Amino acid sequence: MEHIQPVKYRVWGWPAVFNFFMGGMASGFYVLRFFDISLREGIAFSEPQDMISMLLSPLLIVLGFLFMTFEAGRPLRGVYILGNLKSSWMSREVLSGTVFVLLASMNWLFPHPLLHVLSVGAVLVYVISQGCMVYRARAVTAWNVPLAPISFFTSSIVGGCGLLLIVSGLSGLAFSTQMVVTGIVCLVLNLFVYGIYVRIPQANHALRAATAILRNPLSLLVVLGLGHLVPGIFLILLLPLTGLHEMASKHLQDALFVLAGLAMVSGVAFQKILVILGGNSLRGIFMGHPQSRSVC
Amino acid sequence: MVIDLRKCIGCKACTIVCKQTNRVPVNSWRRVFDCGLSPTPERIRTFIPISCMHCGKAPCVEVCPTAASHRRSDGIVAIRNERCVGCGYCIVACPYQARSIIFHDKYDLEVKNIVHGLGGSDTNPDRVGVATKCNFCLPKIADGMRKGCRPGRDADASPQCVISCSAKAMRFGDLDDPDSVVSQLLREGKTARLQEELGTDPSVYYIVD
Repeated sequence: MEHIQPVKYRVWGWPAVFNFFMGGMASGFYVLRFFDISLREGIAFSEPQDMISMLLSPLLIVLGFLFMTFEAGRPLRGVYILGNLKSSWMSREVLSGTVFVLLASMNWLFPHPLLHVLSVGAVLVYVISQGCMVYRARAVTAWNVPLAPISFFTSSIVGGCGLLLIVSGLSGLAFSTQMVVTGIVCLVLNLFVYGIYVRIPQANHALRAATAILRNPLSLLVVLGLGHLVPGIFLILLLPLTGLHEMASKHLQDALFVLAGLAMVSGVAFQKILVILGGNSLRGIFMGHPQSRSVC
Repeated sequence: MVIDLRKCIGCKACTIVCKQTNRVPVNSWRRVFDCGLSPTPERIRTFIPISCMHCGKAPCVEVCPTAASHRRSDGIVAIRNERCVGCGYCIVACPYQARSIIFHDKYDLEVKNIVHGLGGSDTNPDRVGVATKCNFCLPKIADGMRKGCRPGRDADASPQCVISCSAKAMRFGDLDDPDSVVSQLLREGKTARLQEELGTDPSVYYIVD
């Protein structure tokens, strides 16, 4: 038993949720868009529509950083934030995010395959940093587990995939069977990882208590049902339609793409809200090793 | 620091004197938890005073993006107020709930008087909006050592909580000095540390019988 019971922390709130949600979604979107277009048009694509969509990610990441400044007590000292790249994942997140924004903006102004590949690398480091940042928060029981950063990564990819489907459906961008299959694979992967994360072994009482809200029926309904099952059904319905070119089926495809994307983005948003705001209890304090000693 | 839980009576004098000395809100740097009665037939009531553990492998130092949190050569984990952005990462990294931030929106007259002294003169505006925690009364110890006092042996070079402990349950000193009081207490055994399974190597030991 804990000598000092877990308490809810009040430090990271909605601004952090926005940063993790928008940053993750933007990263997933950029990476998937890169592979989607590169596979179809080659790495040196420069279609105007594609280029506009590629500017969405840096904008969302900048917006996420701006939200974080609302939470910091002394945001004007942001100049020091890269002071501990050696060990702080927050420093690494800010550096990789900034490098990505610069590279992606340069690639938008002066498209070049090298800039494109480098920006994908930077955004991958950024999204991994986000997951590791959460994992190194050792006081938060629900985050300090190896599965947390993996879950952050897979959910970011799903969020990005959802955004990709929305943008594709709304703007009439070309989409392919590969995109639909990728969406289904992302959903299954995140479902698998989140499923393991939520099903904490019975023996780990502290972690089970800290993540209890994730197993709430309403939480499961929204994250798994709305965020995974519904878009999964839409995407499966889309599979036979992707080869058709009639106008009626094109409208149906666009509608299904947007609906599937909205469901995926909503599910991921709720997933991050639950993990960041719901799993926000600081671990209880034990004397010595939890199983070996008790003074109370 | 070594705290003898057999002697602590839970009077909270340490928390009050900490607030007065360091001008921080009460229970901000130092708290005393009442664990209630033990489930054993002896029904022993235990109090655990908690503050920053000045860990050898401090999670807060590792995660601090600005390197404002740092571990000094003497083992004290300190904060450079002028570098801290108040991101709160150290708070979610510290497994001892030892850190806090005085936010601007909670910066009412009471807190202002505590932080800046009665009258609210802006003598120390750096304290607001940044992470804060126990520093073992570092300025006081540094002053005392300049006068030739020894930490833990002389009051001028010891944290105020140690001096004010009514049950003399708290002891302070240099763990690297084999002749210090704390080293002698550790050699007697019977000590434990909080959250040992996390491998943070805390510098605060508890005598638990």
